[in-house]
Amino acid sequence: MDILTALALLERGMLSLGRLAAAIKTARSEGRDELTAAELSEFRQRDDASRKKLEEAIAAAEAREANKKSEQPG
Amino acid sequence: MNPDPMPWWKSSIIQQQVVMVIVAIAGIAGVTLDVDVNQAVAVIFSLVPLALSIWTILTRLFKATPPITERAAAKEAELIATGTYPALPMAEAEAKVAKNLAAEKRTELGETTGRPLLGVLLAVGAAFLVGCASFGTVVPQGFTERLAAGYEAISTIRDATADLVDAGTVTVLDARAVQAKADQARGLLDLAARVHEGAAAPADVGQAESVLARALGALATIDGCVDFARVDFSRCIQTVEVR
Repeated sequence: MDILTALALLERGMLSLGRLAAAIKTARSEGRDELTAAELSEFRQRDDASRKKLEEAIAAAEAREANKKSEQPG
Repeated sequence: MNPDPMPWWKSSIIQQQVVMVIVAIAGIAGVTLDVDVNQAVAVIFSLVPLALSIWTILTRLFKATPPITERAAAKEAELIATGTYPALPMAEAEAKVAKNLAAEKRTELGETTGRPLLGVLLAVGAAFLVGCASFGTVVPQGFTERLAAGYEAISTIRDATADLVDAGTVTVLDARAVQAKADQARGLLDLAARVHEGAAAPADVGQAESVLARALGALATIDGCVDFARVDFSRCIQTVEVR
């Protein structure tokens, strides 16, 4: 894995931690022990977006592989 | 004659790494500070390592990098003597070091620019420390908090896998396996949420907890495969069971 990919993974992990911590702290600052349905829904929507993004990345990788194969002689 | 080594504490690279070590220790220790966490802190948290990496690269590109130990100085002299020192311009610069003419220049380069930069870095590092400390105190406890941690973990796994596929580190086949297992884990989390929402008896709550625990366990295993894109990633991800 190259350094840029490693940094990107690190950044994602940190941002993820920050989002979760922010949501929990907000709830606790308001005296709640649990997250609201709306707050949970935001996490679900983020996963939906991530799912779509991974699907697109896979499709792009498949297209690259297909291009490579078609460029190979014979 | 070996070039004089520069005192290690004057080295910009060492200064950068010292700050990184302090920040890392603060993050691991989870120092308790009563500071609110928001998205801005999360951004600082992610930008500091990036800024440090860029600074380190710039340092290597544009600043003199004299040896900081006797051993390194001897190695440098040996390379110069055997003519195996890499690039010509660098060899010329290091020849000056070998002649012991660069000590003043090194001080000029290493200290006058290093101190202001170190000050800025320490200031940013302090903000980073606050961020680390705040994150360290937040642990998901309630059911919905752990549920949210699960959703966030799935999202992060998918994002990381997308990056790895883009970089060519992970094959399409393995990425599809991650997607499928992430979908299964997501299904378990949704099921746990539904059972918990409709829980009318302690047994229902127990069942929701059980499903959530299974989902989080599977996610931890998938995450372990994705982290650092292991050499045996393919076998790792293919053997994960989500049920």
